[in-house]
Amino acid sequence: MVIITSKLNVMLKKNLVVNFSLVLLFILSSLKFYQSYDYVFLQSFQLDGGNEIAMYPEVIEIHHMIKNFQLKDYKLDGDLLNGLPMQRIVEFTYPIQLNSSSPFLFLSKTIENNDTVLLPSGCKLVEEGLRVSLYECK
Amino acid sequence: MNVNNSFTIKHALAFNAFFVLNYIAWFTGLQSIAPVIFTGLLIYFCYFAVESFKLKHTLPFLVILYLGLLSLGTVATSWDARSIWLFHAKRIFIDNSIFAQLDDYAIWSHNDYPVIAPLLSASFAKLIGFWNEIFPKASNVFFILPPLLIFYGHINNNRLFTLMVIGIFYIIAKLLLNGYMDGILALYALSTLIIAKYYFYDKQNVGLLFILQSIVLVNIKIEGFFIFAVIIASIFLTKPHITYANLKRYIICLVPIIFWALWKFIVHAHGVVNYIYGGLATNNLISLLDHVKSRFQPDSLLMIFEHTLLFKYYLLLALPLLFYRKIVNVQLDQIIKASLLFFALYWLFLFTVYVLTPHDLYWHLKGSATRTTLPLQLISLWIPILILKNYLSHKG
Repeated sequence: MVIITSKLNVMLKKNLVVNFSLVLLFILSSLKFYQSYDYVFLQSFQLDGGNEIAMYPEVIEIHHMIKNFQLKDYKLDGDLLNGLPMQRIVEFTYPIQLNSSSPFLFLSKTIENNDTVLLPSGCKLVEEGLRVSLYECK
Repeated sequence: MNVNNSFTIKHALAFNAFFVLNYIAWFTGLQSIAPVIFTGLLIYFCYFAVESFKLKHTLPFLVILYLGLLSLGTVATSWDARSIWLFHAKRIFIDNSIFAQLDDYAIWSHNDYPVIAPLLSASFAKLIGFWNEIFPKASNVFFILPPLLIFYGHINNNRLFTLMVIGIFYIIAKLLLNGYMDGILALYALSTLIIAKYYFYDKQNVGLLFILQSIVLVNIKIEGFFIFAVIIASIFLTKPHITYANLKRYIICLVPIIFWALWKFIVHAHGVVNYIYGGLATNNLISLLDHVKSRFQPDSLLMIFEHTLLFKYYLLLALPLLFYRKIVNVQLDQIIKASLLFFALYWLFLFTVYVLTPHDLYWHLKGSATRTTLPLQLISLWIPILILKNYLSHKG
């Protein structure tokens, strides 16, 4: 009886150690997910949920201007036409599309990238935002 | 399947059926029923949850629930997720057409890529009624479920399955949740290999699951088709006896190929070109040979080997050797042999891709090798777990 009880104890301890190790490993393996966790669960089904984290501020600004002025298309120049900013603008503002012959032009006006020097003649300012300006060109 | 009931086959089959049904609905212009299909998927998931608890097979459900909640707390910010998969899904949702991206607007977005996963996100968005930056990608978590169920069914041991899940979390990590397809593709590659084993070796009645699983596999990413070909080759080469009954089983492989070819045909008909094939098409045979010759220089070869063969998780393959004395009597069953052959053949496929790539070799390897080798890294985890499983059952 004593032998059986001690064997049972050893088995239980062994099981406990294995289960504890698995739980510990599971927690450690999950840490990788939390490195990029954004804590936006409560916004997950909101209309603009996650916009602030997913997008550059200038992209959100352009999106607002497109909505406010109900633009059908737009064009970009300068820094906004560079790879990643341009891709993000195109993705975020869809279904409104980038069109090189559009009369509406967005230019960056931040201190680091002030592209107002690229403004063609015959364009008038429609709206000036914090980071971008919208022009209507003939 | 050696799970103690048909639990895993039934549910893996049902979830894959929802994905394929959703694909067919969009493809045939019946996208108006897509929200109904997604609602059906959610209801079925609840039924699956109840049955998981009732039959005490809760682990796959708990893992998916955990990943689902994590996914709903994470915004898609990575390039492939935003610029390819979710952008395709957004375009499909807004334009209400599976072919939305085939106008080749936003050419950087790889408009030729398959759409089975973006379609599920689009159906989810149709059900909710709008698009945002969080919830659409959470539908990808459903794609993790059939592979998990197949692993669970094959391993048939809660501790070993937990070990497998921990390994998957380490190896695939955030690629499971961030809207990329590479993690899902790797899981589908391995799980389809397992189902192929049951279908071709054990002659089990899993033909429908094998077909659905393969249809999803070839439609996740472009590599999916080649992975499918490598799986069939691995299975055939480890048991190359062709009988009439066997041949019928191989003929079924045409079904996923038809699905793949149909998408390729439509992409081609719209004049959308894949950037790798496009690059190669501009070469004539002589310049192609010169290009290949240049890739066989020691520097380039070393670079390919370094980026495709030096992963810490490959060391897991060596783990059984440490316990050689204990496992010496453990049989290397056919699935282990097929997995090892898959490892070799898929690596050969990757090697060929990197030799042929028209892009700067370092740029291409640096940007993709960690992801394209995921099936190999996963197999490096899978084989020691299988050997451990065989050892435990051998021990009694």
